[in-house]
Amino acid sequence: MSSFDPILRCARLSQSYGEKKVLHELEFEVGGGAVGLLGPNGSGKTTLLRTLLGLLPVPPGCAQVLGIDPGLSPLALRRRIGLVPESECLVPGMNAVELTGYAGELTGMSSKDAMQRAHQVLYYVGLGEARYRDLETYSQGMKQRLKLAQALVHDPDLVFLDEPTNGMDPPGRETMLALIREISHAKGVSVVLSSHLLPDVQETCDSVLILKDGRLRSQEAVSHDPLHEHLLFEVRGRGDLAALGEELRVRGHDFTPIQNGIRVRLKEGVGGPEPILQTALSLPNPVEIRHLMPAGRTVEDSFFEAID
Amino acid sequence: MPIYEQGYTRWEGEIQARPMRFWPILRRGFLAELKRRRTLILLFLAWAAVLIRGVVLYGDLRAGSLLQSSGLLKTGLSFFYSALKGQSVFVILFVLLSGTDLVSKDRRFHALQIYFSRPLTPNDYILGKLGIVSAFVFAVSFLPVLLLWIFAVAVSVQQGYFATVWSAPLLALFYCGLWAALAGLMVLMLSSVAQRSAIIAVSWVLLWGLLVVDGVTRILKMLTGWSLWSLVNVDANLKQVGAWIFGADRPLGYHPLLSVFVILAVGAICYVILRKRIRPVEVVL
Repeated sequence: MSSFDPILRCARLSQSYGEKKVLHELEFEVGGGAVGLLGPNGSGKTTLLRTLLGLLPVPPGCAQVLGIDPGLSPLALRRRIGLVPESECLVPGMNAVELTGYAGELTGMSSKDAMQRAHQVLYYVGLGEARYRDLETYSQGMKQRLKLAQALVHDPDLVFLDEPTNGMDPPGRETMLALIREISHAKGVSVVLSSHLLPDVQETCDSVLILKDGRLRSQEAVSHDPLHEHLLFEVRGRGDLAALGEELRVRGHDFTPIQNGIRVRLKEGVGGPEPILQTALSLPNPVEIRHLMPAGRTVEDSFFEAID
Repeated sequence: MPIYEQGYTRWEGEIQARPMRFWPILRRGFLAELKRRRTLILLFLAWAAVLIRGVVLYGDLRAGSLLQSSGLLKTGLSFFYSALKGQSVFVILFVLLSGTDLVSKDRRFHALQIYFSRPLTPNDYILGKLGIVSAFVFAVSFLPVLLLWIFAVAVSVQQGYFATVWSAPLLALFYCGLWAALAGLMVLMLSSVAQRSAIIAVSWVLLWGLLVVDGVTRILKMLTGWSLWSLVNVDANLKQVGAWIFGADRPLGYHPLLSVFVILAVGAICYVILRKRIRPVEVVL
């Protein structure tokens, strides 16, 4: 599959639990990398993941994951997918190596390969030293990393992560996000990250799908522009900021007043903070800039706009 | 912050579709149970019981008491059926020890998600778990009796004896298969609907009919006037089928085909309940 082929493709995909319709004719296509799946509680995120895994009945032709129809070939599909479930899940009586190796065997690896690979991925997620420890002594963060390890053991092409940072402390969360970033951006494993934590998605994902009440409300790219490519800045400081804004407008840029400052939109092709700094210094009464931050449309902006 | 002890590496191997997808469940479950000391002790006792039978057989043979005038061993097919029945207590113990927690623990620890996010169907899961119980049933019934048969054939010397009992291993295989499937499905079904091992074990003993002994059956018959109370005794019906195929005395008054029907019906009911309880997705509406 080339990087331009969509990893997920849905065409009028609906899903119901009995009488209750949970997903309503979803239609979207997303490419590889990291995709965020956002939505309030009960919006259908987990149901969508289960449907795409083929755990719930899917009418043929309504969905394709990695080019495979989950309604027609769910088992073939699950050989190429890893799942980090939302809730805690353990196979009783096993330590981390046994559990991860067992997950590999269940996917179809030989027991020898599965065990070798279990050691590798446990080292990768940072559980190498704790891999023989009783799982009941694991912290929440370790359990989350173990879930990631069992999802990666068979080296899937796509990993579904359902709330992977739930219950983790800030350092643990950072570690988990770094792992997700690395596998999705440096190792060629695509990731679908379902979360209600908007900063997690902002930090790790390239695009985002926003669901509400089982309907797709928005699909857009997440901006990770480096500073020198930024066009939108918030400026605060001491001095006449309105004059700074007017001078920037004269030079072809634009500005709007905000609380205690101005928001500057630079003209296309002139990214970065330098034009603002140069203009501020060139004024007859120079402005002392104390706050200059890239301002842009964040995942949070998109989310609240979509669900309102 | 160094977050990885080792970088992520792609795996070069290839995952093939495997025909026996239940095999890892069976293998891991069997080996895990085998690590327990109580399992090893019980296995030893189960094999010791058959070993004693073999020693007695050999002693009788030496003493000449098992030899008919024709010079053949007197032990026929029914001898091996009686050896199988003698292993009942070990079968019951192993069904209860290995089977009660098999599904309930997975449900309690949300482990079903791990299974069903893999290329497995609910039937693969059930087959794997049933395989664990069956493996122990075979280990304490069929295998020792098979060894006893080999021993009996070996010490009998005469060719005529083999002609009499050649079918014993096949009949034992069929009987033990039926035994394992029925007892296993029943304990798995109970394990899928209850959580506490003690409750599952007691329910299994009740359902298996071990408490519906002859005396109780007679009292029920007297009180209700219904003569087929033995139909609710799964164990007695299984023994009725065993006696039928091995040509031994049947314990129940009705035709063995009725017992076959009871066994199939109980097995089917257990499977249907089990299948309803083992779902990839738990939905709470």
